[in-house]
Parts: sequence; structure tokens; C-alpha cells
Amino acid sequence: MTSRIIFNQEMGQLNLEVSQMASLAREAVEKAVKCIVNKDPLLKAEVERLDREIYHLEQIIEKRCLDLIALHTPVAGDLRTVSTCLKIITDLNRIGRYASDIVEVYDVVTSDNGFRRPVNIPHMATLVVAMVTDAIDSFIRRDDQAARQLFERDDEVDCLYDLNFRATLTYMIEDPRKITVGTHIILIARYLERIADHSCNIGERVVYMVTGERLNPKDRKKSPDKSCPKEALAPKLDYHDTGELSQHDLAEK
Amino acid sequence: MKIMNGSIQVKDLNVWFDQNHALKGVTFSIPKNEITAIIGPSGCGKSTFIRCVNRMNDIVPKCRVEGQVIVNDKNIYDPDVDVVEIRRRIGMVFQKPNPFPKSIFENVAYAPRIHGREEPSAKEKGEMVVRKYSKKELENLVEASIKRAALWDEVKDRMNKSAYDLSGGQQQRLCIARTLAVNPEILLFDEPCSALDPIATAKIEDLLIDLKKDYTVVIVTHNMQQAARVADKTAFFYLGELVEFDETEKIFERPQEKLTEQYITGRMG
Repeated sequence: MTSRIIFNQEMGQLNLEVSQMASLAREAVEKAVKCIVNKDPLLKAEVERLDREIYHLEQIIEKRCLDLIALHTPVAGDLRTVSTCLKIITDLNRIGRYASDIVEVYDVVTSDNGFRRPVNIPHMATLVVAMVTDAIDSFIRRDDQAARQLFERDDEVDCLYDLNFRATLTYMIEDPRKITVGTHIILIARYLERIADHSCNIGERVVYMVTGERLNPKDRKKSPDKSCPKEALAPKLDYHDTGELSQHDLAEK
Repeated sequence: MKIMNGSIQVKDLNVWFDQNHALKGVTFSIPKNEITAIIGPSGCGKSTFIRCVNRMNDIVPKCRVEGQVIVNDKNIYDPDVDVVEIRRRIGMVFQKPNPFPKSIFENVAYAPRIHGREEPSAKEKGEMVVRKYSKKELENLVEASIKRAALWDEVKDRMNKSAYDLSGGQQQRLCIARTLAVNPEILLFDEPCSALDPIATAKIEDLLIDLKKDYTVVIVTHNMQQAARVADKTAFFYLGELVEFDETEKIFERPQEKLTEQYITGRMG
């Protein structure tokens, strides 16, 4: 077997493992959101298991990338693919960690002391899960155009985070007994916002992998005026335990 | 392709060996005091190109060259050009070390002894006065050339021994010293490390990087990692055509031409 055949096999395996890791990360985020929104405690352990599996895959992929560099000295498109994989596994691992962090606050946010008013978490989660999905698809399909579209959507999520922060803060001021749950709601919003950022990082690396173009992170923001896009303000549908979407509050009493 | 202000400007260079069109309209500019690597598969015209730069193809039967190779604003293919002078100014080192069957000292002293020394005072007046080197001057020149080729410490105690007693890597550096002794402006290397082990190769590569401070260096190599390690610019040739010429980093990270990508990633053919 020639070294080129081995190299191609290794590259194929690398793509497969990264795609697998990405699917696990997406699943972890989806299940973490469902766990909180639908108050499903069984999903908590599942998300934690996924997080461990994601971490394990990161170790395997990192070793494969280093072996590929050391033994096969990839160049051009191959080099960009290996470097992209090395970078995005960190993003995927972080996405897995944030999913795990979200379910960690399950007990607090699903307590009887929850909020009556919507705080945008389900809507934000819908957007973020879609961003993770699209980021992963752009990697699998080598679609730099789809990857570029993620940056605008990140503005929407950032805006929702700001709205969530202000609304939650208002509720906490109105009723200091809700400070603990309110703080955790803000944390969940923050985790979701960070997951969206990591999706954009993946998109940025996909653009580099496909075109060789290095994007300046400062340039990828499309809305410098920080005003919220209309889509972010429009009421959206939330997760329901059937997998369908419905509009409801986190802890409606 | 845009002609830049380089050390060597190549304009529409075509070479035929009998009916075989070996180089097809090559146009680019090799920058001064940089290392330019020429890469490409066997038979793509790399060596043919580099041999055109100091008119080595003149001695090949049925070889016909058209186009221009401009060095210092002068086309080296103009009829009034002194070919011997061209080969002094544009030195060449070959794939296999080829020292003369003489002592280490004589290998380096041989060419300056024949060419003689240009009188600096006459040169200032625009005149060309050449005289013989004195024994002391020749010794100094040989020592300086061997030092410049990073070989002095290894041979200073055996200058009168045969050059054939040296290792392959030392012989190659001796050949570089021999080239430097006639005060060239441009150095051409045709796969200078292909017959050497990795340690000798590393020494030659370090030397090349050091030499570019004073000389323009062109290197033909089959070893793409060598091109990536040492060259500032890289030119990719395929079937006698210049496919792509750019910063080495760009060629190996994000080549613009599909053919270049296919070649450097080993997916050609």
C-alpha cells in the first residue's frame, strides 16, 4: 500500500470522526435545551454522557491530526483541512461542555421558584441549535457560502442575549427571591450565546478550509450598530417534548 | 504575467530540443536577494529553464532558445554578450557534487586564476583591466570563499588533500565555494541536495539562506519540503509551462491553480 493511499484513508477517517463529533455536539445541545425547556430530568445524564464522548473523540482526532502532520506533511487543501479539524474540535468540545453546563443548572431553573414571564431562552435555543446544525453541515458539505451566513445570525443571538439579560434583571429587581433562578437563566442564555459564537468559529474555519481566505473576526459582524434584527424580536416557537415546537414559558404557573 | 523589477527578468522564453517544445512562453521575474524555488514533475522544464539562465543550453545540440532573459537590464541572449562572463556572473551548482580531481585549494583557486582579478581603480574609471592574482591574494580569496560556503573549519588543515577525500556534503559545499570564488551575482542550484543525506542537506539549506543576503538564488528541487523550507518564492512548472509563481507560503497553503494543488498534494496523474 502506497503512502498516498494510507494518507487518503487517514484523511477520510479524519473527516468521518469530525463529522461524528459534530453530530454528538449538536445532539448534546438539542438534548440540553429539551431537558430544561420540557423539564425532562432523564436527558441530563444523556447530555453528560455525550459530553464525555465528545471529549474522548477530541483526543482521538487531535492525535490523528498530529500524526497526519508528522508523517504525511500535508500541504494546500489537505493542510487547510487538517488545521481546520484541529481548530474546530476545540469549538465542538466547548459546545459539548456548554450543553453539559446547561443541564447542570436543571434543578435550579426548573424549581417552583421559576419565572412566569418568557425570557427568550426557548427561542434563543431554537436559533442556536439551527446555527450548530448549519455550521456542521457547512463543514461536511464544504460550503463556504453557508458558513458565511452564520455570522449574521450570530448578531440575532447576541441581541436575544441582551434582551434576556435585561428582562431577567428586571424580574430579579421586582422579586429578589428570584435572584438565584434569574442568575442561572442568564447563565443559560450566556452558554447559548457562546455556543452560537463557537458555531461562527466553525464557519470561519470552513471558509478558510474551502477558500484559503482568513476572515478577521472583527469583520464578520454585520450589524455594528448593535440594533436587534427584526427576526430576533419576533415571537418564535419553543421546544416541546414531542420534538414539535410550541409557545410556552419556562415555568408557567 | 506581470513583469516586476527583479534580478532576472524572463520574457516569453521558449526552448526547443529539435522538435520538442520544452519551454513554452515562460514569463516571470526572479527577485533579487531572495531564494526562488522551481518545482514540477520530471520533464516539466525545470532544469531546462535554470540552464537557460546562464546559457548552459548553448552547448546542447539542436537546442533553440527564443525570448529574453534579462540580467542587469541586458538580455543575456544578445549577440554581443560574452558567454564566459555570463557564466562567471551567474554560477551554477549541479545535482551531483563534481569537484575537479585536484586538491581542495586548487578546486577553489582554479577559476580565479584563469579569470584573473579586475583592477578596482580601473573599474571606477569604467575601464576593464584584469591582472593575475598574487599568491597571497589567491590564498585569501580561497579562504574567504571556503569560509563563505561554511566549509572552512572542516578543511582548513587539509587544503592540499584531494577534494575526493571529502564527504558528499563537503564536496557540494566545495563546489559552492568554487562558484563563489569568481564573485558571481546569481547562484543557480540544480537539485543540489538530491545526492546528500539529511544532515548534509540541512547544512546546504542553512548555507542557501545565508547566501541570499549577498546573492540571488534559484534552486531546482524535487523535494517540495525543501522548497517550502528555504524558498521565498516558488514557481511551479508543468509540461514546459509556468503554471503558478507566488510566495512560497501561498503556494503551499492556498495555491490558486488546480494543477499546482494536484501536484503538491501528490494527486497528479
